[in-house]
Amino acid sequence: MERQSLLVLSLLRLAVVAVSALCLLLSLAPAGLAPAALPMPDLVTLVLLGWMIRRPEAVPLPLLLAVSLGAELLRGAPLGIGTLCLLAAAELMDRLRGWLGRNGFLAEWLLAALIVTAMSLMQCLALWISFGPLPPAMAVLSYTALTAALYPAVLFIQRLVLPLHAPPLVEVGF
Amino acid sequence: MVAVRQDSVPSLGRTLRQVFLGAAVLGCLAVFVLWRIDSPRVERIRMALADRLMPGLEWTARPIAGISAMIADFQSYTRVYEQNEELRRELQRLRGWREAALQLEQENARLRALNNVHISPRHTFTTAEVLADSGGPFRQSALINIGQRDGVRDGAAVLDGLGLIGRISGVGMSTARVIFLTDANSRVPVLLKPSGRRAIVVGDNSQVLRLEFLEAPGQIRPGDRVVTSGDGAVLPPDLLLGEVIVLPSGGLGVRLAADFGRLEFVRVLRPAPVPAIEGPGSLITPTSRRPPAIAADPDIAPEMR
Repeated sequence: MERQSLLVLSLLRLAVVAVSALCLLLSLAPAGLAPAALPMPDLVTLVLLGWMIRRPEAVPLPLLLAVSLGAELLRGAPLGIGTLCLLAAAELMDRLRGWLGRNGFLAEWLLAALIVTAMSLMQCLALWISFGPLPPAMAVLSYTALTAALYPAVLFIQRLVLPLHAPPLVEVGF
Repeated sequence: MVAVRQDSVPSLGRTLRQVFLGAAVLGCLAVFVLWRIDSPRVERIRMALADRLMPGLEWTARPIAGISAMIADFQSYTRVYEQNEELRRELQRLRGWREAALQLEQENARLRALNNVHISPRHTFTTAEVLADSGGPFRQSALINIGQRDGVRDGAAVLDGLGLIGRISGVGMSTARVIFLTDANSRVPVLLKPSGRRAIVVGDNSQVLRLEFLEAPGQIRPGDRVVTSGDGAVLPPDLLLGEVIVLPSGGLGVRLAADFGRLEFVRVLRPAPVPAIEGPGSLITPTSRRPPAIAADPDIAPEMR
């Protein structure tokens, strides 16, 4: 029985990595090189958030760290800050699990949107503190709004093929 | 269900999680600081990772580029009549320019022949395919499918069919990253023609670039050509960037000649090595070798030899 659970858990973790890699490749595809084009939303973060909220046991902290840092390296985002926000969000979600379970999908979406917004703000703040060049406010705003708005769609597509249930009411360990 | 209840979580696991979280947070901060103070090292790591993922990137780039092209084509169908009219007017104007260009070409060839000018080709180029873009608001860059093994060097100029689009910033074995002129980190010294004034073109992630540190702005007119000045010895001189425009704020900007909307293939310049001059030249003296004709000429007196 325990062996079966371990196998399921390993498969789920493999699924997280595979879906994240696919989303990363989609994000990197040269679809919008023109500066006026809408920035590509952060699909990898959406995938990770969905799994962190609904099946946290499939996203242990080392996996979260590796996937998020790899995505930041390849996308050219401020390195480390988005990952740091996701790690903090993982800890926060542990405490909010009961609230998420009681309040349904809207609360889940709101939480995901808040985390995405916090990530963008923290990245800009880190650049500002370290005298880095800040991106235009409109670009950051549209990127954040688009990423947050796409959360249900990314979740829905994953649910078609993967077991992403509603958020659990209980806390999970390391 | 794999999830376990809070009261059954072993305290050791919980402590380990807290310790790992603390270490990971510190690690993330350290990585950010390293990125800010030692960007070239991080860039090398980034390119090594891109080199590893290259086949995957190529696999996704082609279908998505195809879909983008289809969408762009569909959008252009919706305004086909306007485009047709626009193209006719442009064709009319270009015929005039073609005549002028032909005359200038002939005159140029004639003058070069009179001067016996030999212009050496200082640059060759390699064409590359765009594999991936950074796709975020923090960076305007793209990954291309040539690298060190194709002779690409850091800082090399990258052009599309019309003008400069950026420079190489990070080279892997088989990939390289192009940082666009529109990136907020991009600064390019330029020359404005015909006034000959110098300025710096600054990117800010928008389509129109800003002109800063401009000499004598009163002498600059909208429509003036903007070319690289070659100052700083990173980019070669005389590469076209675009033309001067007046920004809504009243300042001067540059509209790029390159078409970023259809960036599929790019050209990476490879400067030919310039022969280095080492040390001052020495005099060529006629000490050791004399022309044999003089030595053997019986009409010249021996003391004159």
